[in-house]
Amino acid sequence: MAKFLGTRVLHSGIALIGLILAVFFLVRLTGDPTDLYLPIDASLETRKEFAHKHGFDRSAVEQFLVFLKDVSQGDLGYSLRKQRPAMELVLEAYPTTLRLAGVAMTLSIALAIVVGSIAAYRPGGVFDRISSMASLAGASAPDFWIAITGILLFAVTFRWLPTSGVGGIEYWVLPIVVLMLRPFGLMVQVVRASMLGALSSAYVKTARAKGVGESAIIFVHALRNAGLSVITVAGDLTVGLINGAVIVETVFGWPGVGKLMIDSVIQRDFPTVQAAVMVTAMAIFLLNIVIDLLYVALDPRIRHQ
Amino acid sequence: MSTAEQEAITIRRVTPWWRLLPRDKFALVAACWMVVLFACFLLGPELFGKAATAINLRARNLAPGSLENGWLMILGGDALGRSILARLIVASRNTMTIALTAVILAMLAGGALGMIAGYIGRGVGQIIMRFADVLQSFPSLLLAVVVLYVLEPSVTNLIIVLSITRLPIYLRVTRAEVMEVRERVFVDAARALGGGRFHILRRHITPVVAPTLLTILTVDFSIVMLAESSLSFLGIGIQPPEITWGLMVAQGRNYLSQAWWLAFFPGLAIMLATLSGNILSNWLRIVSDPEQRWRLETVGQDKRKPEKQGQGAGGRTDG
Amino acid sequence: MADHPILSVDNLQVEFRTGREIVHAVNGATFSVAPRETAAILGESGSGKSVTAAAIMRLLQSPPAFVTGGSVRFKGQDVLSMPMAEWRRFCGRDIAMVFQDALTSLNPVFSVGWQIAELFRAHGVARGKDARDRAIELLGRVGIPDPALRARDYTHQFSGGMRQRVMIAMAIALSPDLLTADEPTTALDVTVQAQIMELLEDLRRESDMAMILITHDLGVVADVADTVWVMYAGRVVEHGPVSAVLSRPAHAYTLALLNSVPRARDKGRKLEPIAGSPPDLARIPDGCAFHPRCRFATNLCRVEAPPSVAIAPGRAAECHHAGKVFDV
Repeated sequence: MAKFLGTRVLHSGIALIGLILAVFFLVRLTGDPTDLYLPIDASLETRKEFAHKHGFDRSAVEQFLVFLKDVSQGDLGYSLRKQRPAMELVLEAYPTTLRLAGVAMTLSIALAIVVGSIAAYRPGGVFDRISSMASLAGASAPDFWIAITGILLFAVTFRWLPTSGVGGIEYWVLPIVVLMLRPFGLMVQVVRASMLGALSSAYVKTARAKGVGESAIIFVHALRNAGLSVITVAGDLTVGLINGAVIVETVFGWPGVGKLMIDSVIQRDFPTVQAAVMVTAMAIFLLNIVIDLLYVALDPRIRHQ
Repeated sequence: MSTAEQEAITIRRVTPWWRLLPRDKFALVAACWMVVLFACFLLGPELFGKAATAINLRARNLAPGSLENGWLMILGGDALGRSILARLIVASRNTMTIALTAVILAMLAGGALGMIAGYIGRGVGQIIMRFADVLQSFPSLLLAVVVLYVLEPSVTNLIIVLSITRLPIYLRVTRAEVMEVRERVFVDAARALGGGRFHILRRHITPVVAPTLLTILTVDFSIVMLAESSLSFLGIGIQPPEITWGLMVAQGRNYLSQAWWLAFFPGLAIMLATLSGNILSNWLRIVSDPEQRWRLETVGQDKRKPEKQGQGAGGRTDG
Repeated sequence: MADHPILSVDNLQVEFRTGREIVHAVNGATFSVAPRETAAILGESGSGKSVTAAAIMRLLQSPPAFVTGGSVRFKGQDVLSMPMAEWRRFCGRDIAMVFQDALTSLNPVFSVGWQIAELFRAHGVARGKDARDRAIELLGRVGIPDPALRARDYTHQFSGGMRQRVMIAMAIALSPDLLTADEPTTALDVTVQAQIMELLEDLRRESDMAMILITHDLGVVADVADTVWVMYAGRVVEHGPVSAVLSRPAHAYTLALLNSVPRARDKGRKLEPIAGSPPDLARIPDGCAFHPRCRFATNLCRVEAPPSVAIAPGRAAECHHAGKVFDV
């Protein structure tokens, strides 16, 4: 178990460092970073001062060390738009995104487990065919299009829901539904496939021969095994959920980290982009460790390795 | 499937795929739709290029569903009175070019790296795998956003970025398959007979890996198309006057309350294309899986009991 | 047998509908098991013996498997027409099963103690600590050392033989009247095989169970079974008391089977493998299914399915040349 966790943490850590390195070099490979950091109309003097202050006039190795030191202290420069530390902006935006992603992910997983299990119980049945089609459509839907069609239908035409913004529960409905589409669609397919495998396995046959009831067979024997692959996919989908969050936050005007990043990119506020990337990478690093711990908790075979 | 059932099931003859396709209605429709899209991709700009750019101020935001202004206006007109249908057909080239090139590039590069990682030593393999980790542990859209921030959002850069974000899947699958195939006897035999590494990769490993990669390619086609649309929708993908379906949705968004069809039809086009890709890939996966294929080959799955055979002391009389 | 049979299977037919073919796995199997006896079902792989066992337990996955005819009666009740929920109450309590591969047949993510205790919980016999204690007691009874400690372990922490003991503990937990063992020793080392067979036989005697032993191993049949039912191409082709059938078979297939394995009695005799390969169950030959591989085969065998020929009380064979074979 220690070996498994150790390797996993090591690999995630390498990925994290790799990403930090990539950001550092991407900026420097493409030319003078002052162009990236400063507004286009900055004067020559401001540029010189900026270059000196951030050590762009020093050697690459020195720059990297300074960069690492700054990163480790959470100092990623000042936002060019807001004249505030970029890190502050990102940390302010994060709770919104986490709440949105958390609710969407929890609902997707819970719903997908129920729908996928029922579908796998009678493969080829009516429920299976309907849910297969629905999950395929969910996984194929362009979320930005569903989002604006949803606004058109439920906010503009019927006036049941607000078009955008943050507030009471009615503000959550459209963003959550749009954000859930893809993870739900993909998860139903994964749950169905792994439940199909588990339900036709020899141990399920044994459980039947023991006289165990069908609901216990599905939700205890099969699901506990299928859960392992569900967790793996859930991790990947959570990472992918950030993609959806970017779209949903932009379309519905939620002040989350996705909207912050797109706004910063469009207004060329590089320090903020960089800070957002760092924090996201860190969050994903932690997520991976949580998933590995869950894996260990659920699979005795890994626990005893 | 359990041992008892496996004992009884042996599939001898394999139905060719073109016979199986018509049996699955959804897959058939999806395949036909793909053919239509491909025709638009090949001929669209040549046939409808003019119609797509012809401004007709009298047809501004013309509502769809009427043939009065010619059949090209069946899906309505955009803010400048251009035919939405013609623009959809013309935009299919950019949309499909980006998606197809990106997935093919990703497959080739990922496949090559995967073969190297799986076949050649541990050190190089480990480095390549960690590289895949980096790519996979970060949201692909954010990665593309950052790269397109630094580079110009041109078609070429878009293709490169999108193919890089899809690369890890091909890499992992190829590596896993290569590691498995490598252990099989026939490769050992080939090595004993003096085949070089390159020869073994090309003649023995590629044929085994290719079908799996092609199945992934069809899913990825949908994923990349969605990613490109999202980027173009956000304004950091394709820039006007070039058009893709995603950009058309973005442009139509401003007229949402007056003319919903400006954003609706391009989005529908994306949805239908990605749905077809996903349906086809599901179908391909079942066809290429020997344990699943029978589900497609089984014809009348009716509940009616078949004729009972003559049994008992008289013996079997069936022929 | 004077006793009323505990299980009787009559003309059972099972087919698998796959692809464009129909695989006739069981084609009118008929047999019965008396209380407290050990009945062996003997056959090559593909003879339909495992499918028969699965059909009796109603464990076949449908589709692709369909029971298309025949009946199964257990303790006088019609098994196949019973509602599934009702039949499940018999499973584990009155009729139990030991599967071939204990590694895949035990759930990898639950401790073995939990899986044994599940029987008591599922049938409302005991719960909580009581169920756990009983599970530990059972582990001790099947010869697992340190049962209290081992009950908390998982399948992958046991050796093959120990795993099969866990399966057996599960099967005998509620003292069933009939135990079906489907190739219980095939996956094990030879030395362990004997121990497991001995354990099964001891437990059967102690608790007055009947046992169906499904096997392809003549030696095992000779050692432990009372009666033997020889299956070929989904039919029982010969049956009778073990000693009688094995010493003087009346079906050409049984004879060929005996000649293909070494026996102590006639040392130095040349072994004769059975010619040809087992029948394609999607295209079972006309007449006697064994005729393409049979050295006694005549034109009659190619055309007409053989009737059941009584050899002695409780003994019969479906062979046109039963007399000739019997006299070899």
